[in-house]
Amino acid sequence: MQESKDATRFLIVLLVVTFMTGALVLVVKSDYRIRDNELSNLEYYPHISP
Amino acid sequence: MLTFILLSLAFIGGMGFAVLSGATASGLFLLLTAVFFTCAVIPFWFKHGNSMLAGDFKAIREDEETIPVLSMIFLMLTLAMFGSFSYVSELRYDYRGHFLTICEKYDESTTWRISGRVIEEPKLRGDYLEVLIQPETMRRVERKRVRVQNDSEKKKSGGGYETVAETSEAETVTGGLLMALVYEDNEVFREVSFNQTVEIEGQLTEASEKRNPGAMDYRQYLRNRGIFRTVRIMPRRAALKVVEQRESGAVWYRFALHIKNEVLKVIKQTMPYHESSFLGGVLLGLKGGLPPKVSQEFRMTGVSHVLAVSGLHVTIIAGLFYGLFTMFKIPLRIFAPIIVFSLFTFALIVGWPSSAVRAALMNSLFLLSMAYLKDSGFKLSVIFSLCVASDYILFMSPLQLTEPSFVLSVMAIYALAMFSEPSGEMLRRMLRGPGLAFAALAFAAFFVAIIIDNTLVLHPYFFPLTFFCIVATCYISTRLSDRSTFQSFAFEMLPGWLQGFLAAQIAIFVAMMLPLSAFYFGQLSLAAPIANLIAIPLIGLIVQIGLIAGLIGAFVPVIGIYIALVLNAANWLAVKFFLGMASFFAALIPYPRISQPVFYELVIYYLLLHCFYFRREIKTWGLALYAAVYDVWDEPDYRNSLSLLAIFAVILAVAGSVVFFSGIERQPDLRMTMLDVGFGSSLMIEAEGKVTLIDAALNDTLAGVDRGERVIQPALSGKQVREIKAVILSSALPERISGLSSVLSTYRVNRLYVPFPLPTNGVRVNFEEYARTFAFGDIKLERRLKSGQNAGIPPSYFWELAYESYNRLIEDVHRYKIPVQLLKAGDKITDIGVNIEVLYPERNKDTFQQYYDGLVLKITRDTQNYVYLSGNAHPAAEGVGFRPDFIFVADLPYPYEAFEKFVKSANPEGVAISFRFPAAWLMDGYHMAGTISSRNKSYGPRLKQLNFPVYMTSENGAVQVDQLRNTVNTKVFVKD
Repeated sequence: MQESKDATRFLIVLLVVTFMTGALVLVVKSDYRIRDNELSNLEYYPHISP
Repeated sequence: MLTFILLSLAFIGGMGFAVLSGATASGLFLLLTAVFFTCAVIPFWFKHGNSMLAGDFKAIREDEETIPVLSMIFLMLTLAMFGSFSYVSELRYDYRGHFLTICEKYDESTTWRISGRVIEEPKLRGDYLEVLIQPETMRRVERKRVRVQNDSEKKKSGGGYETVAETSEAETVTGGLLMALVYEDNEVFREVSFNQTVEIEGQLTEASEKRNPGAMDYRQYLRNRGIFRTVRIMPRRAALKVVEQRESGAVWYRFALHIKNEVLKVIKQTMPYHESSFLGGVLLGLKGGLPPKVSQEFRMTGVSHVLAVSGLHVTIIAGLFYGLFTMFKIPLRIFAPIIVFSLFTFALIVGWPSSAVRAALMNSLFLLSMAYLKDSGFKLSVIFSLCVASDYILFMSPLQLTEPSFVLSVMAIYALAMFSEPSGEMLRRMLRGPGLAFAALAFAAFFVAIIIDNTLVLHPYFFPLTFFCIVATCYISTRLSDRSTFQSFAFEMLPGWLQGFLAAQIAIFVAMMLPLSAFYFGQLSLAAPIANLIAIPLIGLIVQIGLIAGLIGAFVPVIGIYIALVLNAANWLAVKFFLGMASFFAALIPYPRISQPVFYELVIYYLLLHCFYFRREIKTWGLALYAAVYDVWDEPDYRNSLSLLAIFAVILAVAGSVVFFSGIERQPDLRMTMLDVGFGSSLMIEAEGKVTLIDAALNDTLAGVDRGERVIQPALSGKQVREIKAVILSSALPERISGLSSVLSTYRVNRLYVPFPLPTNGVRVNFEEYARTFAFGDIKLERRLKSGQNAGIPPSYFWELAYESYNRLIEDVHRYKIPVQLLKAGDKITDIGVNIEVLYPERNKDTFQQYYDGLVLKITRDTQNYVYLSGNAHPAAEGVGFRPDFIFVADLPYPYEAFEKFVKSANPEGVAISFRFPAAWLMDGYHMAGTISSRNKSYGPRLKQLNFPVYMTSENGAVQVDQLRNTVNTKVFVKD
């Protein structure tokens, strides 16, 4: 029971911290946008495109 | 459970026997399977026959010895023979209707029209797709030019010609696969996908077999995957046409592919290149697109297993789903089947590699046993589930047994299951107080030393000394810990999970990474123990966030992609950190070559490892066995039987030893191997345990193909070589010197011999100086220099490569402090196991003519003589004063008439010529391109007219010449 509680807590903390860090990256890095990423990935698996 | 484990071991052992013995008699193995099974049934029936007839199966189950010992022995033999039968029958492809059988009826130039089905999603490799096709029918195509008379316009002009394709009757294919390589410049590149019917027209190619010592046998590798021919789909060479998309069948696989493509689209939208290629690799098993530099850094730091989508990923995903379901309070009995389904879907997504299948099976067994059998007291052992997974994989695909990915995956789990706990115990005893301080100091001192001086790893005794230091450190630390009463600062004080993790790392390193990296790859990452401490937890984070982001982005409408963007923006930091960590350790800690052990050495290593780790258990068992034998010996009735058993054991041991030792190849007095290095040359000489290299092949930087790394290094690894006594460069041509740099980075070279000027101060020369020292016979450049103009820049890629290679040699000689000796006619080299005498060039000039001043060497061992000719046959035609037993030529010899005169007068036992026509970009703008091309075309028929064998590395692969008791034997790696 304790293990499952720990796992739940870990997952929640992981998701919250991830969201906050991700938001920070998006604020600081102005070229981290969907369009820019698509352009930089044009040559990566070119036969599968979004 | 123990019964199942024993039977599994017998099944795998039987397969191993088939591999080692090279047996092909599948019928015999099947017959033995039936015989042994009958033998197993008899004692079982004898004991339980009455109960079975009475239908009392409960009595059988409750019997203390359900399966009698004799039945068990025969059952194990049955499984062993069945294992051998499975392996041998899988190798059979000589039956009518097999793809290979049909192909082999006709020569390689036959054009085929093949209709077949794409059986798995095409894989991207560099700039082409690897498409696996199950051929259904195939026809031969013959194109003919025929005169056309009917057309009215052509009638006016007296008729015309057109090409007509005639096809033979279709043959139905019943086995074997074809691999099509579809290049990016084809339209079909974006069309071809799983479950399509396709039609291919073109010539088929058979993959290259093992061409050099220590090299990979690509043909066998493909055959182990069931592939027997390849075809390159390129304009004007071969064509692939999509006939139809089949929408039926393989629902699960199509579902997995749909998820894969959708998640890949999300990755491409939410993470920039090349971090996206890393996430695609670790999450979806997409190896294409990752920059080669990153792959190399991963290999150097020992973390490339993260890209192999190993069992670790499956376990991480199982953990993630377990956590998510637990979070929402869903009972295990309900979500266990969902996780099992997800794990196998994941294995399908990543291409169903044996490592992922193994992990999916093992995790599923654990989950299902926890969900449904826990109440009945059932506890699953790791070894049992490993046996189930291995049996399944080998039953479905027996040829996986020899695949490194399968062996590495199984042995990693075996190492964890068997050696983690004893490793933990060892660490707990060793790392306490002063013991911990001493071990930490020794560990730090080792890494500081190799970081400060990278060349330490090139020392011939680096690995033996390191091993000795590790043993000494363990011993001293344990002693210090035992004697100390100081209890603080101990390994035991670490959290339990960290203790387990560190112990698991030790177990993996000693029982998997160290022996199997050496055995399969001949290299060992010294950074691996440190890098993995960071990499493994980090990869858990990256995979979990990546998977959540991928699934949300792909399947949550409208806002899903934006949530994925935020998640992957954070993940991008983790990926950046991972790539930076790999790059940092790759630059800091060297990645040395290690001698590749042979199979029996590997077996001995594992035996010793088990003896060391389980010494107490072995001692207990040994004493118990001794006591039992002693008791039985006291009984006069059993004495004769025991004596007979002992005699039988001795006979078995002697017979086994005889078979073993007779199988070991007797070392010749002298072995010379002209390696197949493509365009260029390299001759490896082995005598009295010393190795010498004459020429070191080409490193084509434009193509990214370094023959020094790909051919010479593996050849040396397999020879148990600790150092190279001497390297002799016959000329400064790039196809002879540029491959040396990578060899110098992994092997210590005692002395370098060259016939051309070579500064040792490490200062690069400019092109002006270079062009004035080396003459290539480029009339334009020579005229320019004579008229007093400067040399300008290298006029072609070949010149540039030559210039760069020479400067690299200057830098390497200085960096590794290699003594250099200038050679000229009359010089002798005698301390390398053979005597080498320089016959040409006669004197040392300021200018070195690359094509005419190359070395001519006389190699002597006992009464046998050999000649190494740089290419220029003039000096040899004038007479060498002895009869060579074998002649090695580093290039197509010129002029042919002089060469013919020389070899006809010498009449050797054979000639080996190292040559393959160079790549187009190497010859672009090169003034010798026309000469090399015309020689290549005209020499073949003329060489065939000579009345002794002439071996070309382009056709025969490496040519090995052995001298044993004054007789010369030749072996070629590729037979006609």
